[in-house]
Amino acid sequence: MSSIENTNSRLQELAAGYSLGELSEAETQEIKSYDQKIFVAMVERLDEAAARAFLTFQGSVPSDAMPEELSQRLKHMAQGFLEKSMDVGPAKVELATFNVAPSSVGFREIVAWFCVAASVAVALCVWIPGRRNVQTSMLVLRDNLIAKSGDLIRSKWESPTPEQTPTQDLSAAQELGEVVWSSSAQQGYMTVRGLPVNDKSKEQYQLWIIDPTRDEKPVDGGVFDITNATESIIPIRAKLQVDKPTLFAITIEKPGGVVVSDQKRLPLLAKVIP
Amino acid sequence: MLNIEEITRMPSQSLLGRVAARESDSLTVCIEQYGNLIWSLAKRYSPSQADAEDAVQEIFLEIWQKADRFNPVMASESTFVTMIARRRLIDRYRKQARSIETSSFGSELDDQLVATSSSMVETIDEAAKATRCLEGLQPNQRDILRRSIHEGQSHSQISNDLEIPLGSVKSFARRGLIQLRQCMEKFSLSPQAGVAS
Repeated sequence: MSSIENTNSRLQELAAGYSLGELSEAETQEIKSYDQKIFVAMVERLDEAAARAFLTFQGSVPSDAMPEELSQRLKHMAQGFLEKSMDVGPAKVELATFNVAPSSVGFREIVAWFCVAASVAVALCVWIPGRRNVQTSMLVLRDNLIAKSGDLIRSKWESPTPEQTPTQDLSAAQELGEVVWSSSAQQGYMTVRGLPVNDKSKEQYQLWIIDPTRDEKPVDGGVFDITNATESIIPIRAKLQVDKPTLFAITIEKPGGVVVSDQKRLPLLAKVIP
Repeated sequence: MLNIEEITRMPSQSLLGRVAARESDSLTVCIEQYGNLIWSLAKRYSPSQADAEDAVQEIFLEIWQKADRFNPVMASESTFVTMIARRRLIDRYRKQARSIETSSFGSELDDQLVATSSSMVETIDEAAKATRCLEGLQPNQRDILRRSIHEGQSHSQISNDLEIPLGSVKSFARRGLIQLRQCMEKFSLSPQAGVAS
């Protein structure tokens, strides 16, 4: 086998591992030594095969019914998405406006090339860094919650002590972000600015929610990482029902979080003003 | 055979074409048509019901945002939707190396099982061909792929369940998927690379 064939064979194997979500750290690093466009195109072909395999397997078993509450939440979200879309004008359907020049190349090939080129471009921007699109989605989800919730709580983050301010820049410290929460939806989002990027193998951030009406103990609001020191939007994952929160607090804990925090490292607090 | 005018007209007539055009009821129809399918996927890949619900919201947002990239010449809507959903779920849980247990909340949903969604009907022809390709795999390869792709099991879980070395599971799964893709290309299921990103 030639070296080119060997390279393609290895790249294909890595693409299959990526498509199955089962690459090791070393393999993830190895990908960087190959042509990213070829790799992404390979992953797409394998993703498509996997999707068709899933549908085939799924065709032989009953589907699970989506919870009605989730369905209703999605429909509210859809309304918000449509309204937001209307603000910026209707979406452009690329295929319908595609200019087909007379040529010896078939339309199918042009469309196929266009789809591959477009998806490769998006994939290079979105898949490999992986987070930007997630943040865009979080922004829409957060805005939708803000727009639809009648009982929304909104509170700004502040530093409990000046020396624990996550950033030394005073102007930045004045805009540390905010937390939004809806008790009826049991959903909320944190917008955090200026928190240092954490090394998740050493420590992680953890949110706590104080709700005196239920318990004196803070409710675990979920463990999260900061991957962007400028601004991050993080969904709140309250482990218990929260009805009347009075305080949100972010602590720094060991990887995976803790059941009870000693609150020794408490970079941000958000007090709910009645 | 479809001509260019017919092809260019199709997106606006398909559900995803209507979503791309932001037609008023199209997003709700999209939720009703693909909700159960996406929920089935998310439930298998997520460590908890709350995570699965978060994932479903993210997936639908992505579908609506990318609906204008759907091309009926390349794949069915179900395939397009499933590609987006799988990719989002894998990206979402890749950090955890898919070492999660997916059965933690399955039991409470057993009584909510419903008949196969009508959205699957359009994929019957594709599914028949895909079935032939799957049948062409060795039984252990097919079983490992089913566990990985359909059940959302990690390779470690499969290794434990089947008592096969992890390296062998990895190798069977990867080669099986590559073989599947090659077979699908042979049957001209898909003339070129995929449709979603």
